Amino acid sequence: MGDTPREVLSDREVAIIENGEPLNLSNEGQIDFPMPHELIESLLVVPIYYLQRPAGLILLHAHDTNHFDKGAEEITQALASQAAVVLGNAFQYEEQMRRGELLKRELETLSKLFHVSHALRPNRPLEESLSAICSAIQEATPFQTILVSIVDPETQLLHRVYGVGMSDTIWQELRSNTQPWLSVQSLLLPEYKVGTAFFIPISKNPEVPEDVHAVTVLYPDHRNENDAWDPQDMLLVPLYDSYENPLGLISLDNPKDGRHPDRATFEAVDLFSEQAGLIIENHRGIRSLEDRLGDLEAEQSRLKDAAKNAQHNLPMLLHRELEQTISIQQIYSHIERIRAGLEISELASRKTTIPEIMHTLASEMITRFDLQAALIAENTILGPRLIETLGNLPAKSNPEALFGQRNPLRQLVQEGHLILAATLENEWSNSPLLNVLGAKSFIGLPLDLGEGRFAGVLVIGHRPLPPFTEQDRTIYLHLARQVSVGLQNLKLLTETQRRLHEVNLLLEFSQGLGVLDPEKILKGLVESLLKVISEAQACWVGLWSDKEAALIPHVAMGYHDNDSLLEIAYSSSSRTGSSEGIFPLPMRVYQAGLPERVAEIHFAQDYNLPAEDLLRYRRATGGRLPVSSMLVPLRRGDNVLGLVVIDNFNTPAAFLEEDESLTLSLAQQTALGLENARLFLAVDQRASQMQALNQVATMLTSSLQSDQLIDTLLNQLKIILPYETATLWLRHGDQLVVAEAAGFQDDESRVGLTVKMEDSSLFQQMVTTGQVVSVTDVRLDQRFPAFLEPDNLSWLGIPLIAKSELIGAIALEKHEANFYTSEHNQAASTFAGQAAVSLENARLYEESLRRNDELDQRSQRLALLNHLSSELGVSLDVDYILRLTSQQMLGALNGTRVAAVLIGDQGEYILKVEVPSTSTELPQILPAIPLLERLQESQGIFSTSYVAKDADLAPLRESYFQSRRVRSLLVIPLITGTGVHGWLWLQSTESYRYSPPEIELARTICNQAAVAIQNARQFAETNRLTADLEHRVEERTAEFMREHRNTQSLLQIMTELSASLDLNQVLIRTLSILNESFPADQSTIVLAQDRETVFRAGVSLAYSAEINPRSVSLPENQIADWVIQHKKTTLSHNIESDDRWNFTKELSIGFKSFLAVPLTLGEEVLGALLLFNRNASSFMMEQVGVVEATARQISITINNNELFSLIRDQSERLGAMLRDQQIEASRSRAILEAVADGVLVTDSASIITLFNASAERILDLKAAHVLGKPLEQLAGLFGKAASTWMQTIRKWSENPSSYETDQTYAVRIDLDNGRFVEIHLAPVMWRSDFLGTVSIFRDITHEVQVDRLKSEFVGNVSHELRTPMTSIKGYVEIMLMGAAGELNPQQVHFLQIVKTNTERLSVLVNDLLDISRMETGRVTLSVQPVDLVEIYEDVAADVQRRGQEENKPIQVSIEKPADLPMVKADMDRVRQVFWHLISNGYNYTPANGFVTVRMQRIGPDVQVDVQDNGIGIQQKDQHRIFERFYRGEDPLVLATSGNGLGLAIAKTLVEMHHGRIWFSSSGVRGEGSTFSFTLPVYQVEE
Amino acid sequence: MAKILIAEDERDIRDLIAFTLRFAGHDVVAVGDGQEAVEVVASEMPDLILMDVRMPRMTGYEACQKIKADPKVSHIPVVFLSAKGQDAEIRTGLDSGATEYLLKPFAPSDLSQRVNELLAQYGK
Repeated sequence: MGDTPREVLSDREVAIIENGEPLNLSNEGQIDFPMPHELIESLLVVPIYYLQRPAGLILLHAHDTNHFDKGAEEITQALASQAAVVLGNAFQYEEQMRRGELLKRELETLSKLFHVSHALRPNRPLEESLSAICSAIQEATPFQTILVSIVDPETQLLHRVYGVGMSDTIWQELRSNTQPWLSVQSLLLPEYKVGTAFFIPISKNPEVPEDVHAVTVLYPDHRNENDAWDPQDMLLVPLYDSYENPLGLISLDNPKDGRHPDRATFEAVDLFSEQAGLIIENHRGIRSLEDRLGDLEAEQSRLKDAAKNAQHNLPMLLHRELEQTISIQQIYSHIERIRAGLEISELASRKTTIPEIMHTLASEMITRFDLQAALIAENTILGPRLIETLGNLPAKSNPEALFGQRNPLRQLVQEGHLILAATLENEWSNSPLLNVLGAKSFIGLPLDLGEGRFAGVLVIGHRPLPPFTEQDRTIYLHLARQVSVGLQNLKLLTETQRRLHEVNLLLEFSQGLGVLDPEKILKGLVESLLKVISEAQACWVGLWSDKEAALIPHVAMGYHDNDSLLEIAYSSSSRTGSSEGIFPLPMRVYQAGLPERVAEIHFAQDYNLPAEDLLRYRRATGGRLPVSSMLVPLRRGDNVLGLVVIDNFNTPAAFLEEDESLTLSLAQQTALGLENARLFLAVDQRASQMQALNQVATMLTSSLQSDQLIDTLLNQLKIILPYETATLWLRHGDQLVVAEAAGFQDDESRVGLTVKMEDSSLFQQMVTTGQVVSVTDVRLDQRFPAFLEPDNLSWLGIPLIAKSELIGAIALEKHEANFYTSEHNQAASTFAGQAAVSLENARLYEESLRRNDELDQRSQRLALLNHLSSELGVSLDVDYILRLTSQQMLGALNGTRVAAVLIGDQGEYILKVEVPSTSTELPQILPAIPLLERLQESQGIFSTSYVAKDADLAPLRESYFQSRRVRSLLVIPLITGTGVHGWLWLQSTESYRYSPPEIELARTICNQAAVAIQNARQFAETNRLTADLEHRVEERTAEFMREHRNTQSLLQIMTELSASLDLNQVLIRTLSILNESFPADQSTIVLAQDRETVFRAGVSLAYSAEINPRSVSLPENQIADWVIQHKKTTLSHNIESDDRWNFTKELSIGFKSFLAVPLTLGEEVLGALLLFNRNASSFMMEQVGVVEATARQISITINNNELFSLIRDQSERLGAMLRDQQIEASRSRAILEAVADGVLVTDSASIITLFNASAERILDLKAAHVLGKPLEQLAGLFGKAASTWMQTIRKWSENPSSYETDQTYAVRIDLDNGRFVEIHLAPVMWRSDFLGTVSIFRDITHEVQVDRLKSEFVGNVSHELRTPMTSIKGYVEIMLMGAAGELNPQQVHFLQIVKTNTERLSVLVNDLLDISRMETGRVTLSVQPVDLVEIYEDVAADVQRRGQEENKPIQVSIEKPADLPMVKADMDRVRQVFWHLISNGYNYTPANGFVTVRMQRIGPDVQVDVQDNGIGIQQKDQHRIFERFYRGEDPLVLATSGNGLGLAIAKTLVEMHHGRIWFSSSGVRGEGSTFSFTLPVYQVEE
Repeated sequence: MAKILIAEDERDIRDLIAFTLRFAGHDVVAVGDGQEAVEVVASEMPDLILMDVRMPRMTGYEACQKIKADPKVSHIPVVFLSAKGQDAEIRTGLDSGATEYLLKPFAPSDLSQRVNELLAQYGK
């Protein structure tokens, strides 16, 4: 109570039940007990026990703490005992009840059983018996659904035969499903067994085989208890017979009480199932007895029937005997046919050729089988071919021609199956061949030729044959097979013979191959092939030539002109003809290396030879072309040597496979023979080459003299390698020099020619590869000069390499191209190796000799130089060095005196030292000597053995050389890094030529001296430089200090200058700083533009008081003017002595010196800065820089100041402008707001920026809802009508140039409230930029309504006019038709008048309607290309018909050019124009007049003139005739009927087409008038 | 000879049309408005219907639509014969299912010729 009990007890609650102790909890100790709800503060749990067994729990809850005291606990326990007793009583009662129930059911079961036993009788149907059992089970047990199945003893399948307690559909489903007994049996495990029944609860997860069929019947779910029946539970009772064979199964389901079966149920089920088993077994026994009886009865009746039949069947037996007789006859004829077949096959087998065999077969078939004609054919590579026809063929029939179409013979040879047709009423009835031959039946025999090829014989009968039997088929098949075997035997025989022949031939041929002459071998091949291969009509054989890179024919036979064929070379390089890139056939086969039989030669494609070769080929074949060819390569291993080509000029596919294999074996033999011959020749050649090489090598290695070796080298080479010219190059450093040449006309002059190695790519190649370089044709090689035609085409470069170094090369040339072969190359390498070694040896030998000499001399000299060098090292005195050097030189070399001449500072030549010394006082300056000048420049050495002869020495000849009797002179320069310092003159009184080693020694000595001299000089120089450097450092330090000071002041000035924008203050401060820094007594700034503004600082200028500065030019102004004018800084140390200035006494300012600097900014001079000082020479040049820098800063400040004022002025002006614009804009806005039309403005992004009050009113939208929103959103409110509007705006914003200035964009939209608004749209453009749009809305509802009323009015009026007119016109016409009785002529006349006037009225109404519609703009043109002539013809025909009716002949005609273009117009409207103008012409022209219509193209228009010769138009009327209803006063006009609307309509219509209309008339009667109008020509691209 | 139903409110014109068509040898049934025309059409089963547009009770347009909506009579060609000759009116007439729209005033001879042509076209 007060709570909902839980379904399951918690663990704590179970624990209480188990230990039996009550539990009393309160919140103070925190209740850790599972609570059913919140707010429980106290808890009391008491268990209930009954007979020592737990029976329940009492749980008490309270909302306050400590609610349950000890007393309460005890009371509750007492209550629990009471409750236990009551519960026990209740349990016992229930138990008693259940037991009573069971007993009752047992009783019922027994009585049922008794009842059932009575019901079970063997003679009753099984279903009835089972029904009794099932209902008994239903009553005896709680189970409602009972199902009985029976095992079929044969199939062992369970069939459900009876069921109760289920719906009909379920029963039907159950009955239609069977289940194998074995599967069901597998469920019946011992663990489930209770008595005879098996209870299989689903909770035990039984393994139910898939083929056990179960239907789960859904019924109300019962209590959720342990023993509750699950719909998937099974209760099965198997039924067995007395021999334990399965009989059936009872299944129970759906218990009433929803519980598992209890004991009583099982007992009842046992009893009833036993009964059921008995019944089924009995039933089965009865059934089998019944079956036996049935069988016996059937047998009996069958026997009865047989006896009855026998009486009726006698005539049938007689008939059967007749049939047997006939069949015996058939067997006879069958035997006859077999015999005929055997005879035929025997006859055929005796023939010795294939055609004869087939012919015999065919003719015998005709005669023996009484047939009329036969055809023989065979299948070839090119398809079926008719061989022979024989027998009785209709005249003029041409079986050959029809053989190509489908026929049995064709099928025969293609498929090889027997084909028989007793009549043609089958698939062959349409065969043209059979029809032509008059065939009504045929026999087609296939003949197997082997290898899948068939021939066939088709024998034809002119009458249908009796139907073929299976035996007939066998006979014909055997016949065909027999003959086929004969054919194949024959073929084998010929084949064997042919093979024998071939073998003989091959033997013969290989014997012929013994010769070593290739030409003979090839000739033998060709001859043999022509002999052996029957279809070979011509043959040629060619060999591949590496040299020419082509296939060269060597032997040809059988051609019309064999020699011409031999002239054709099949090259791999030249591909010509239309099929570019495809080689001629022989070349292709040669490259593929595989034999090829070409069934049909496509000459143009297969022989795409150059023109001259084609000519040769034609000459060779005598104009015929090969039809089929066989090409077989001559092949030796992988090496294809050449090609045999065999041609046939008549037959396609002339060559057979055996021809190919024969040719192939001959070709292989030939290749072998050729290879042998080649090898033999090669060995021979090689041997002689090796011999020569040997000799040469001996020759070369025996010589150690280079010269001798070089002389003989090329001659020796010629023994091995033939050449026209040869050149031997030897290497000297990076150059190659010609050492020997042979074969040239100018051999000698070539010797000594030099080439740099790097200049020749051929030598480069030799160096890098070390290999012989062979150029097969120098014309094809880019490394050879292309400008001259070479005499020799082959070139061979042989590198001479010793110790991996190129020491030289030999170049050979030969006249022919492709001359040098790989053998040559090899020989060349060998030779080169020998030659190089020999050359190197010789060189080494010579070298070693020379070395020995040299070493001797060297050691002496080294000693000398060592001595000199150590002596020189100790001194820095130039004179001493020179003297010492001179002495050493005299000691080392042959000479009498040495002089030292040095070059002085001024370039003079000073004689410093002479050893041995002379009386001449030294140093002595020598005169200028040209020789020395030259030597000074060239740093060279001069040597002469006869001084007197040398003109360059002339200046010294007398003064120096003669006195010292010098004859020989060697001048050696003293050279250091900076050039020539002087010379040592080694003189001799004898005539002596110094050798190179002597000169070299002298030079070394001089170099030593020069180094020493330079050292001495450098020492002196270093001293001087150090002193100089110290001085310069001092200067720089002072300068730096000055600069630093200046920079400081400049910085200060700059800080001042940028400190404020008040120019006056800033400048005066700056000037005072200037005064301090320089120092100056006063500084002044004079501005160029405004002379009165002068800034000064410092001591004031002492002008006399009388001086009026306005009338006199003050000195400062004068100076400033000068500076500004010259844009130049000026400095005056003393004004008084400076004649640029001439200041009067009174202007004397008391300053002596000044510095004046222009204030410049770019090119502009702003003014001048002047510094004054009382003392003369106060300012220095060094200060100018700083002052100028200051001046620049001042200029910038002044300029900045000006700019600042400028910007301030500008912004003030802009501010004013902005204000004006705002005023203007708000005025515009006010105007826009005030206009009566709605205005909507959008910006470039289509956002609405203005929406005036009228727009609000017209569109019934608040501006606040619209402004700032995209226009599309607004347009959406107006539906589809606004889409044009939006599209136009979008088009403009995307492409502003699409707007055309004079175009207006207007669209009408219908609002929901029934009003009409017209929107005019215009873009806002600034130049080509799209800024937005302006849309004007105008409420046109009133106009639209007026328009509608008008149109309705016109419609009503015309209707009202037409209705009475209908009556008038109708009745008049009826009367005129005579339908209302006959009329007299006068009556007819009057009625005619009524009719005519009615018609006028009708025309008037139509015209009025037209005019009205045009004026209201409701006429729209449907424009299309229009043919004016067509319209004219319509209208003219109408008018002429009228003329006939009115008896007024008028000639209506047209004049127009043939190429009159179409016009762009509305056809119906143009017809109206024609009608009005032409009928006017008719109306105002008297009878027999004319109306001529002229059409012509004029520019972009077609002009139409309508001319008549009528009354014309009088001058006074001419200006009004296009007015509506105007007809003038002319009586002639008024005499004609008309309403005066025609021309007005015509004019309006023409103008709607953008055309013009006008007229001309002289006004004279009879001259008529001409009306003209134009219409635009139709342009096709529109 | 065919049976023709005429619907025309203006008596003079109705008589005129009836006279003309009878004169041309046709059987004529004449009614005074669209409503009547719709009522009799199923019983009379005419070969052709000639109808004015502006009529009391039910206009020609409506009558034509009703006839065309009734599968029993929708095959009968309807021809308007009206004094209302504006483009929009003619279009409305043809849209309501009429075969042809003839304008008043008409020549009786033309009318009978046109009627004969239409009957020939519809196989009568």
